[in-house]
Amino acid sequence: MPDRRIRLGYFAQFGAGGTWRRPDSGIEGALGFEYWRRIVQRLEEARFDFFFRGDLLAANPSTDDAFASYFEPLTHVASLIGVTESIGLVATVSTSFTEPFNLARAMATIDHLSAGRAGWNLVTSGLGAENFGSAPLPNELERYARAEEYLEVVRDLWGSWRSDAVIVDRERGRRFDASRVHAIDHHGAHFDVAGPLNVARSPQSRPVLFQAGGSDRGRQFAASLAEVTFSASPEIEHAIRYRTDMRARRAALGLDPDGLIVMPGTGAVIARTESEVDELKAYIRDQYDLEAGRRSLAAQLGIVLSDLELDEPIPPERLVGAGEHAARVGRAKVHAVFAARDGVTLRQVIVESIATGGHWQLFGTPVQIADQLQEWFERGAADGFMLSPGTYMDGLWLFLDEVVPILAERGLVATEYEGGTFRENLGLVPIPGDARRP
Amino acid sequence: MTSKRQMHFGVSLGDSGVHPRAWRLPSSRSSQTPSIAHFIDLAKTAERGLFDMVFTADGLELNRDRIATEQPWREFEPLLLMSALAVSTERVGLVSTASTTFSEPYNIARMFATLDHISGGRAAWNAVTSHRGAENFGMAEVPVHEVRYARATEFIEVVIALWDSWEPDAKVHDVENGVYADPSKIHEIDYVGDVFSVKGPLNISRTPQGRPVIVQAGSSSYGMELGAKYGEVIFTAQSDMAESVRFYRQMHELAATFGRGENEPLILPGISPIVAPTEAEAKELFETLTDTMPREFMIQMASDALHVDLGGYDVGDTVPESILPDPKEVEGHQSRYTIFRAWAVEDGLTIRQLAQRSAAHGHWLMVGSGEQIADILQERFEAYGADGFNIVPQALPLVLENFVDHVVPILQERGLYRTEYEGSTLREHLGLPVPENAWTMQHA
Repeated sequence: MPDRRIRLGYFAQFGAGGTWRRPDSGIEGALGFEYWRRIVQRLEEARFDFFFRGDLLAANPSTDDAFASYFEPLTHVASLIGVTESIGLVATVSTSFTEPFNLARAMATIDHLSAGRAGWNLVTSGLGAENFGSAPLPNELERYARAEEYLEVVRDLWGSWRSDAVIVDRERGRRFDASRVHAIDHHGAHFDVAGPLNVARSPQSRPVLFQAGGSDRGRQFAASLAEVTFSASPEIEHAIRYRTDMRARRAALGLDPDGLIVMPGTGAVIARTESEVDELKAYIRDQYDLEAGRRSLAAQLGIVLSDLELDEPIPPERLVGAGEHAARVGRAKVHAVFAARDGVTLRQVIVESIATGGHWQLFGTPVQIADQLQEWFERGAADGFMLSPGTYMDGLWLFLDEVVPILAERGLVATEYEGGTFRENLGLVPIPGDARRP
Repeated sequence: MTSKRQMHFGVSLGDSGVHPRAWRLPSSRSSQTPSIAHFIDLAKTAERGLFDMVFTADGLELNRDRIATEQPWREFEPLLLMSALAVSTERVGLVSTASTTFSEPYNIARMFATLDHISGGRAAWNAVTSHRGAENFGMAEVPVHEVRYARATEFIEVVIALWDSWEPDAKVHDVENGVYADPSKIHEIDYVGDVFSVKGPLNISRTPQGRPVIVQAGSSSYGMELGAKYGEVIFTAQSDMAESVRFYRQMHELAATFGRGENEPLILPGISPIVAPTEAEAKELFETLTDTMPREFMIQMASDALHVDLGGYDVGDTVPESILPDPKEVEGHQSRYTIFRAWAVEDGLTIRQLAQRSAAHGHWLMVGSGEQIADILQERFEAYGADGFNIVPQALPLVLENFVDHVVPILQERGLYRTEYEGSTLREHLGLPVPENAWTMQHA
């Protein structure tokens, strides 16, 4: 299949899971620009499709986690525009704590300044309400209802300028064709927005839309509206089921299943030899604070765990309905399913939940990593991967220097940026310059 | 470091300048596709001129009636533009506007803290309350002055508290013991006001400048109070000497009542210099710029500035006082209206002249050689009508390049302006102290 290629994205880390303690982590530089310049430029050399910034809207100073201090994603990716040429730049922004006009404008700005390389990861946020007023976070269904309307407004704003509205006729003094710029006059349950946007139509018309829905509602949202879905699958069968389900949902909606790129996240741990891999694995697990993990797991599952021994299984009756009220239902369910397996102890569930956050744990030498990625790709578990090498920076450099060339040799990844825009590089259908809701 | 008082300079960045028709000049870079290279070039020119800062104004709406013939001055989201410029510049300060009416303090605190980290201590926030754009944010109209400024006051309080929520030494990076940060030095702010409830702490550590610099630009009584309380740099718009000196003194007196430092805030009036090597060339340039505006357009410009319909008048006419509204009845840009009203009534400017001033956004218009412009600025500076100036250029890149080439060297010769950057942060350029952290002060 010459056309189908593995898509590669880099999930930026600020030092999660204690790996910041490794001497090569470079954590001291993670709040400075040089650190990121080096990463993004090397990603571009390796022809990664995109640089991805996740987000949380709260700080948790009670942990030893470096993830307590990190850049605001839009500002972060904007700073990378000037030092890159082709790589996509994806920022996470919450629909629960921002205004659609501001987001539409921010994304259009990044898309213009980067000549068509912007992507938006839409999240509804499971945390952070305490920093945005006194009301608690609405439940998942309400958050998605707001998100859906929010996205409508944003797309209409992006469509409020036709691409042929821009003229620049100095002689006759005609700058824009105002008849090709229109108000949107949106009036809905959550938003009233007149428009038009105060930025002309951007190169991609619509920055590439990312969404990471794991729950049923989230999956339906992603299937109908997203172009890339960033998923959490701990193992291949789960991932195949997830991708099959997403493609079926697309087909049922009358949409081309290939229009959605499914990218499981994985914290690949890479070393040159197998014994080094084992050492790394042990090192990483040693960093875990199991008691903090126990509290976090209990909160996610909504059950009591404080009275249990680490080496006992979680009693099955406690797992009935566990995780159903979690902020991130899909993620919590992955932990609950694992906990219900025969012989799995509380310690294992905690370790898994810390290690993966529900994601695939990928360990190996460069060849082993390439083999596993190929297997997932060819068996229909993934269209690409959202990578976050479990140890940085060594892990990232090894991936770029060793794994990518193997994948390239096998013809599994593109070796050049072929399109002019991010959307084109991902093989997504271009959007007409006159689409009212791009 | 020299002890002599030195001028500070900023420049407003944009596509082709604030003059609505400057995009028609052959020297403008207006094109189908706006490029980051244009903005990088402007910022580097400012840096070549050793400017303290580059700046972007902002608005959160689009006037469709105007875009047929006008380049909108404010287009890109300014903070992201500044972030994109941070990596291509080394010293110049990066001032972005952000509205307190249409955004959330937690998001704004975070974004400016991020910009300060990324730029190595060069971020500043121009806090505005916005008088347009309500229709894009679910409001029938913008709240009145009093309400906007009450919200702005709380907003700024929250932002400052969030910037202070990490003490300077909160980040430990103790690799040996696995301690990343000391939770006892990271504080919830638990802010509960009439408008905002914000728990905190911020999710980014204390920034290189301690806090980004706060800039304020309102000249109404509410705006002045807010500026006196929190502003470290004040952008203003007086062109008359006596008024400038009065405003300067008033701001400092008002600031003193809030316990501010002796030299705070810094006052930077906006200027609209049309500079060329000779006076004759400068005048010619000014005429070229005026000629981009058709007659009806000038009438419309003057009408808008004076909040009245001048449809029946000619460009050579003056405007009778009897048709002009009372300044108190004007909502938004009140102080600017007062200035235009005085030009029309007291100075008897024609509609053509008012249009020229309006094309300069009401800022202090000066046309002349480098020497002449330097004289004017020096006089104002030495009379304590200004600590420096923010250039609001009518045409870009022309006005900025001419200023850097023809005015800056003269000011340097006179010892009024730096000949090299002495510091690396914006606070250092401006001579502003690093604010003490509120929590650290409590321990002390």
